[in-house]
Amino acid sequence: VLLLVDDDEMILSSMQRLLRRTFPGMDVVVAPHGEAGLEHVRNGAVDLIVSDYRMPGINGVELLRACQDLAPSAVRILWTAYETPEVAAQARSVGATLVSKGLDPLDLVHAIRHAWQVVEA
Amino acid sequence: MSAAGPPPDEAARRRDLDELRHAFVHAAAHELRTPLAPMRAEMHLLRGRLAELDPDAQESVRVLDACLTRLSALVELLLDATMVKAGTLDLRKREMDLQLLARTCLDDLAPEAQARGIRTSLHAPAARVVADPQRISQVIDGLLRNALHATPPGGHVRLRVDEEEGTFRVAVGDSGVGLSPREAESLFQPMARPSEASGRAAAGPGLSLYLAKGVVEMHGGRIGCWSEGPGKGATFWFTLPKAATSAGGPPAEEPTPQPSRPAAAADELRALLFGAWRRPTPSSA
Repeated sequence: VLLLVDDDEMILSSMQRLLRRTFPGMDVVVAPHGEAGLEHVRNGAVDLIVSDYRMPGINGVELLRACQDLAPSAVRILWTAYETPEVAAQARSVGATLVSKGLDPLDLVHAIRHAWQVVEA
Repeated sequence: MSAAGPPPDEAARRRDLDELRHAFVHAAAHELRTPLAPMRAEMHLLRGRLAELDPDAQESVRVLDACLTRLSALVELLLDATMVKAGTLDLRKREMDLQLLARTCLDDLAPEAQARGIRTSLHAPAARVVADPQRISQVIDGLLRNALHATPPGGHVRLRVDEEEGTFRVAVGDSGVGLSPREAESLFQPMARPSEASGRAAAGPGLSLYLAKGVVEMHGGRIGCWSEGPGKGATFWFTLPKAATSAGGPPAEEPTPQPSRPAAAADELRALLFGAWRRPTPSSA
């Protein structure tokens, strides 16, 4: 199960469709904010968590930090348009890979594929 | 205005407005990224179904795709330039081979050079540096594209890496339109544009060389250009410190604090945003 957390509805919709098409065997669930994301993690087995950084309520780093306890084996990816050195350091502190919401959505796809291969290995 | 420059309060006001304008442009570029992300995802999905569309619709998708790619690149450039100015560009340094990077950059542009009838050549010895490969690749690629656009068919573009006093010097030379001394001085400033007469590439918002300068300087290097004059080709170069052979790995990346946003009147900001994005100099008043 891949959990995508982002407060932008269009991003959730588009990326869910893109990820489902790219990874047909993967169950892609979405959450519109950090608290909803945490609920998903508490309620079921999530293998991979992709979270936006800036969201109302708890931010992506706080969400991923909480997931370190709730789902320690889940792979964590922080997908953000704010990849400053400070955010990069925060991502590292919660064991997350930082992926830029930059030029190409395939950057996220590549990061997920890489992380998935690591999990499967 | 006296030759000594504006009074201190005026200088401080300008500095505040400059910082505010910078903060606004930075925030705007971030906000533009958000709708671009789903647009690019949808375009990727659409490209996968291109064969289902009639030829007219296929052409529409191709045009939209090209425009979207260009818009995304401009937003990234704007964002990178604001981060260079603030010193908050996230560099992911590691020990890397400049020779391999130079070859890859030139190979990537070889088809375009060939199509335009421009010869290319590479001279690059083994060169270990500690650097961010993606950012340095961006710098070399930008200099190569600049050279290609400035060079007429039948000309040549040369990429060289040379060892020089504790550094490696990367130089892109072309047989193109050249530069006047005045242009050579100003090209690395934000929004700098070559003169119409020189014919040198003026695509984009004039931030590529400014970004290149910032990236190189954040690596501890220097950047510059040289030309014998208009019509006589040009060489753009930069240096990177050699990797210390005894070093235990790349230097630690220290988080850089974000600059605080100064308070200023919104109408002044709006007025400034429609002006040239250039730091005001005391002598320009």
